[in-house]
This record gives sequence, structure tokens and C-alpha cells, in this order.
Amino acid sequence: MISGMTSSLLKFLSLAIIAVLLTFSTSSASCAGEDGKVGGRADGPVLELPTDVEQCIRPTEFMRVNHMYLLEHKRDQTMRQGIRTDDASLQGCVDCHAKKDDAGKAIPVNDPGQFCAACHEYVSVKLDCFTCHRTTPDMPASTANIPRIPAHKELLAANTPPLGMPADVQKLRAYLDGELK
Amino acid sequence: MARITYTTLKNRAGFFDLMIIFNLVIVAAGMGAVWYVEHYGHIVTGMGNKIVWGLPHVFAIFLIIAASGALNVASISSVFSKPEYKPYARLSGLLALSLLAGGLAVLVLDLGRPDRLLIAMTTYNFKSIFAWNIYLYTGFMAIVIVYLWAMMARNMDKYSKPMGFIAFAWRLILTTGTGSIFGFIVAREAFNSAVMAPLFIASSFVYGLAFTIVVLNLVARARQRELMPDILIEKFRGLLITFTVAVIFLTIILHITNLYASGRQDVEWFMLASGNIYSQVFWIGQIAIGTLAPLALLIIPRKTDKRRTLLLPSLLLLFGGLAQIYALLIGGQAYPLDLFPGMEISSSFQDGEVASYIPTLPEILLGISGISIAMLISGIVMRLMPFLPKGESA
Amino acid sequence: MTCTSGSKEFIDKSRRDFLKKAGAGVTTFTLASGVTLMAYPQAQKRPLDEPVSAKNRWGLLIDVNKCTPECDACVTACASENGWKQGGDPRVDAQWIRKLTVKNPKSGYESSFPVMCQHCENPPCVDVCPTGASFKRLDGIVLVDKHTCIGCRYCMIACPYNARSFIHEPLTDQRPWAPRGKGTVESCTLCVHRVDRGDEPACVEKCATDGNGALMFGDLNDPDSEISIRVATYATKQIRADLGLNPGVRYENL
Repeated sequence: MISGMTSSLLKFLSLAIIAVLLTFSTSSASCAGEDGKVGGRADGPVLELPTDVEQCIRPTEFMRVNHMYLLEHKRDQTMRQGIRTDDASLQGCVDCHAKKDDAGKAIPVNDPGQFCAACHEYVSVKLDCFTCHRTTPDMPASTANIPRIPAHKELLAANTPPLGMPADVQKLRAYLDGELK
Repeated sequence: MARITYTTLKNRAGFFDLMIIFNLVIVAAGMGAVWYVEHYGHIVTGMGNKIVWGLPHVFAIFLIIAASGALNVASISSVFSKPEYKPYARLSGLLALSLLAGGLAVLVLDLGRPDRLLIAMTTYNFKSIFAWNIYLYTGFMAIVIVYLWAMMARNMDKYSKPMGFIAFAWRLILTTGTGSIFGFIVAREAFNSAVMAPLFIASSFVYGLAFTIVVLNLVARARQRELMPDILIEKFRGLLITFTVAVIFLTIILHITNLYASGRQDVEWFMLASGNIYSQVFWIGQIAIGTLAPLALLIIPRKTDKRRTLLLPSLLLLFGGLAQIYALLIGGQAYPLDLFPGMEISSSFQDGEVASYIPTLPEILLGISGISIAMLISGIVMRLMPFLPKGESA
Repeated sequence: MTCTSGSKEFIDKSRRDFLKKAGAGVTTFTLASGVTLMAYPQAQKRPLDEPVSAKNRWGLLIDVNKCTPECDACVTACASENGWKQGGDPRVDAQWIRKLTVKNPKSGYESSFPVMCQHCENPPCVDVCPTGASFKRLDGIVLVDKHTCIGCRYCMIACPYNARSFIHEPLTDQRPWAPRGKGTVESCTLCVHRVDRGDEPACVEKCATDGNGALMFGDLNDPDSEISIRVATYATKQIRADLGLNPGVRYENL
């Protein structure tokens, strides 16, 4: 009788725990901190970058790991505190990275194979940004609002890294700044 | 005193299987409706910028209130030390959990961004009674699980009384919180009242007990065995009458206070006397079908089978509960905001107009699936674990 | 009064009043500052890498007498600036600002004026938001953080002005400075993207150029701003002032 009660109780508790876990796991995947590396595969996402600037506003390694931190941190600063610096604006990214098709019309950055979608499809992380944010540049008015980033190198040098930047990225920064060989 | 033994729900006559399949179909339809609304946006529902909470919320609030009331039987046995109710305490706890799960499922699935549930559960604005409610609901589930554990584990019975007290207090705070979601809103004259919280508490007693009786009847039917002794039927009858009178009393207080308050006569006329859908739902749905008819059936002695005497009044009371919430929630939103008292206002945004609400199929399916979720959970758990008392306890 | 540049009219009146009180020596100063105020509604533009502070409190002043029922320049301006469509189904379509017509049934007097989010000091929508997505910036602008909004619509029930709209269908082609998406709630942002760069909201600008110059924008915390002077000089009202919300939008000749 006692063991019967315990096993029923165990059954009940395990059901309850599974139910609770299921409830939590069905919410959509978060984008925070997703590493672009997928174990073991030789091929990676194919990304076409604009050719008219030297580098991205942050090193690629940094972006792979921390772009969500950048987006989330900066968005909270912009939304709640009204800080609107040129650096790290989502529309700035779109302005630069949206490709034009043959007719000269901009292709949305979350279309398959385009800038954001190329990596995100590869790692199967859902993009939520473009439910609300514009996917193409809105020339010329948008550039009137957010000046096009002229030289990423200067911007990179001017920015202090956020606390807790991984050691390898700090090394990369130092390399870019010419401190390391 | 005889020891109470419990059993699982034994499958007899296939009725149970039928109920499970029926509920599964409804839940599947409800989930299909959720996908449809998520994909196309809320434009496919009848809700809009004026009636922002519709039929799904009517069902969700109904189920949540019923959930807190369903714990009553367990509370009476533990807190008020009435041993006649003890055999039904486990079932009462299970019903409380499953009804709450059903109500919360409907509420969450109707959000504009249900994929942000994690954000809702981790980011809080504690000035909002809604935020407090999230803690109250999840806390209630945890407490009832512990309470059930205390009742079911053999050597934990000494904890069932303190857990019963905690659960009872928590469920009162929970229902106060649910009522305050409306009571605290200053902008809506139909909602803004201190009586909302006590009204919801009294309503929870009615819906919860009515649900318990309906489930006991269904289960008794499935087991085809006498589950409710006469003495318990008498006690339930008395409780239903008392709680129903409490609800109607508080409803009268709510409306009379509003009628006395200057400036609220218009909204009271709108809700009670204008002859629109909300006043019809109130008078016919809540009062006539949902209060007077069941009271008559409960008070006037009848010659029907003892076991069945409570089933019809309970069903009518549940219908009356839905009507009560519909008239309050939808009617309160349909009434136009009075930006300039005494003036007639109009605009391109429906200012000054009574908003109309026509629920669409996805909303109806979602709302009903809440009840089915609750019944599914109860049914499956009863089948797997010993929640039902075996025969009579005396 | 026919359509003139609204700001200039306000300046004329306040300049006259100021002169009466202060004397001739102030004239030059007032003239110069009047021209400046017309071009830059904000006395000092906040540098964009500095967070907002409670130093400013942005507000609107609407002169109801100047508003005509046929004119909806403010509504059109807001719609084109922020990317919502006018003239659709009022049940489900967004409307950040609308022209409200108020008629006194006993006297027959009718007036029309725009109503938008009132940017209250004690916003009920901020109080009730479960996730804190509805928030008030330190400078008084009430916004919805759509990253956190779960679309529960409780704020829409709580707003006494029906200022908020819910987005009922998937959207594309948003304006870059006004992201909007399905399943979240939105309302007038007081053109926060323009305010932050030192401009005035689109409705105010359009009313001055195409309308009757009924709208004025400014810093209610700055005693020298046009709006503060005007609010101190003439009688103004807030809608539903009895609720104690202290909205930042005030109405003259209501």
C-alpha cells in the first residue's frame, strides 16, 4: 500500500514537472548569446558583405557572439534613455547591409539568404526584430535621421568595450589597434 | 471513523473514453484557432481597439474564478475541520489546478505576443495588479500541488491542515487580485468599484462548487456508482444557495452604489435598462437563468433522484456565471468613455459610439477549449492516480 | 483669423504682453528670442549620447478656437510621419491622433480639436502594464517599449482617453524611426525621434504650415519657453483633469 502510494505520488509529481517544463519550453527561442559555430560542420553560413567599407562596426568574432547584447543593450538605452548615437542602430545595419536587386530595389534583410537571415537560418534561431522594424533602407529620409557610418575603424577605436567582453575578442581588438602582432 | 480509501477512475462503459476524445477534439480545434489568430493577427477576431478583451477572456476569467472556488471543498475539510468533506478534498484540489490551467492557457494564448510568455514571467512592473496576479496564479498552482502532496502522501497528513490554511488564504488573495484587475480601473465606470473583489470571491464560491458537482456527477456516471451520500448532497445544496444569494447581494450593492454616485447613472442605464445585448445577457442570462431558476430548483423540494437534484442547478449557475462575466466585461468596454460629461462626442475613432462586438469562430473555439483543457487534465490525472473516494466514508 | 504661420501669431501676442509688462528695453531681446523659438522649439538641444533627464517636460498646447472641423492636417501629418494608414476600418486600424468633435446638446455649440495620447504625469497605462513595457520617459513622454510588450491590451482598457491602438495584422513598410508590429500596442509618441533631435512633432509642424497654427509644442519645465508663458498667461484646461493624471497636453478655449 505504501509503495503504491509513493509510486502514484512519483507519477503525479513527474507529470506535474513535465507539464511545467513543457509550458516553458514552448516559448520561442531567444536570440541572446547564440554562438554562430555549429559543432563539427565544415561549411558555415554564406554571408555577402558590402564592399565599400573596410570592416563591420565591430569585429566579426565579437558580432557572432555579442551582436544580441549590442542590440538589446543599445535598444534599451535608446528606448528608455533616449540615447541615439550613430553606433549600433538597427536601421543603420539595415541601411548598409540590405542588398539591391537588379532593378535597384532593396531586398529585405530577413529574406532567405540575405544579411540577417543567412546566419539565422543556419543556426535555426528565429528573428523577431523585423516584426516591427523596417527591413529595407528608407532612403533618403532615414539617412537624414541616422547618418551613415563613414569609417568603422574610427568608430571602433572610439568605443569602449562593454564589461565582460570575452578574452579572445579583447585580443582581437588589441590586434586591430596594432598593439598585438 | 472509517478510513477513507481512494481509487483511480476505472474505465467503465466507455463513457470516459468518449469524454477524453471529445475534449481532445475541442482542444485541437482551439489550438488550431490560436495558430490562425497568431498567423493572421487579431483582425480575424471580433476584438478591436474598443472591445479589447472578448470571449476568450470571458472564459479565461470564468475558469480562473472557478479554479479558486473549486478548492473550497478541500478548504472546508482542512480549514473548517468538517470531516464529511474530507473524501472529496483531493478531487477539489485537482479541479482547482486543472481549471486554473485551462483559464491561464486561454488567457496566454490570446495575447498579442504569446511567444513572449517568458518575458511576462521574468519582467515585472509591480505597480500593476496584473503582474501580481501572475505570481498569485503560479503560486497557487505550487501551493495546491504541495497541499495535494500533503493530503496524498501517507505520513504527510499532519501538514495538510496548515497547507489547507495557506491555500485558503492564498486563493482569497488570488480572487481579490482577479477582481481588482477590474476594480482598480478608474477609466471604466462599469468596472471601477471596491465591490469587485468581494463579488469575485462570492462568485468563485458558486462557480467552483458548481463545477465540482458537475464533475462528481460525470464521474459518478462514468463509474456508475453512488459517489455522493445524501448528507453531502444536502450540504452542497445549502452551500450553493448561500453563495448564490451572496453573489446576487453583492451584485445589487454594486449597481445601487453606482446609481447613487453622480455621473454613473448613464453607465448603469446602459448596462441594466437600455435593452441592449448586455442588459439582456444580464437580466435573462445572469439573473433569470443563472440565479432565480437554480435558486428555485434548489429551494423547492423536488421528487427527482437525489443524486441528480444538484446537477441542473449547477449547470444553470455555471451558465449564469458566464453571462455575468460577459455582461460585465464586454458591456463595460462597449460603453464609450465619457471625455466631456454632458457633451456629445464623435470622431473617426468611434468616440462617443457604443462599440459592437461580434465574436468569431476562432475566439469561440479558444474560449471553449479552456474548459476542455481543464476537463482533460482532470480526467487523465484521475485515471492515473487515486483521487476518487471509494464508496462511502461512514 | 485666416491661416497664418501659427508660431508667429503666438509670438506676436506674447511679445505684446511681455512689452506691456517689461518695457521697451526688453523688445530687442524678445524679438530675437521669438525668431529663435520659431526655428528651434527647444531652448537647448540635448546631446544625443546623454540620457534624458527630468529637466524637461515636453507638452503640447492646443488652441481649440483655431481648429476648424474641415482641417485634419495634424492627423495626416502624423499618419505619414509614423507610417499608419488613415481611413481604414476604425474597429481595428491604428489611430494615433484623431479629430474629436464635441457638441453641447443643450446649446448646440460645436467644436473640433485633435486628441492624442495625453502624456500624463501619472499615466494609468504605465501603472497597469504587467511587464513595464508601457513607460514614461524622464522627460514626460509616455511610450510603449515594443520589445517587452506582450500584447495583453490591459493598458488600452486603463487609458481614459482611448489613446492606444493595437496592431491587428502583420505590417511591412514601417517608417525606420517608428517601428510597429503585429501583436503590440502603440500610441502617439510625441514624435520622440524628432523631439530628440531638437524638432517639434509632425502634427505641430504641419498645423503651422498647412493648418491653422493651433498646436504648440514646448518644454513645460522651462519658464521661458513659449508654451510655459502662454500657459501661465491664458486659461488652459486638461481633458478629464478630475482624474488627477496631470497630462502634458493642454487645451486653450476648450
